Amino acid sequence: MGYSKDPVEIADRQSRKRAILLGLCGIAFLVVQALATRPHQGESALWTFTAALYLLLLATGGGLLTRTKIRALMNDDVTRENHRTAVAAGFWAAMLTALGFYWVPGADQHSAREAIRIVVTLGVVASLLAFSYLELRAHRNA
Amino acid sequence: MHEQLHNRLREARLRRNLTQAELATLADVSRKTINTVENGVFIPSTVLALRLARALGASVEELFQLPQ
Repeated sequence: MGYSKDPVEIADRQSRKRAILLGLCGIAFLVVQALATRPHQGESALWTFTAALYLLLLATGGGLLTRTKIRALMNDDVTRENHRTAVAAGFWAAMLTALGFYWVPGADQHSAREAIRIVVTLGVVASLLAFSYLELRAHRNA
Repeated sequence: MHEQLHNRLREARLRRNLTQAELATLADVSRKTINTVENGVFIPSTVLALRLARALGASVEELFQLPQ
């Protein structure tokens, strides 16, 4: 099957792929972090790297090697609005997790690093999933 | 349709026999932008409304109206 070279078509395809990929990344990150309840020293460095990578993807929209024209179409008004909403969702998820964690019985048994890992994980995952959902919704019936 | 803004973008596009992708190309935006504006999911900025109007050869008021 041949693909169109029209920038709008290319941006459309890449934008859909990005939305699906970021959604899958969010789910995978959540599952891995849920299974790793007490990460060893080596693993904890890995999760910070993964979280930072996802935050970078969220901040830039990815596609840094994509043509400027395609990238501009992928990150146009609707996507920027979806990005703002997704980042806000991540912020609220992190805040509510932090507040909830404070009141959970036995939470003081956890280390500060463990608490940070939980708060960051849920903040990042909420942002990724919200962005993926909003972008796929924007593509629906297009 | 968004409760704060009614639009006739889909009707105007179909009157000119354009697909969403063709209008997106004319207005230099993505297809999802056309889709979300038509479905009332996204309220366009002033600049975007002007670009859509110019691409369709219509006035902004023909495409977008406040509810009565």
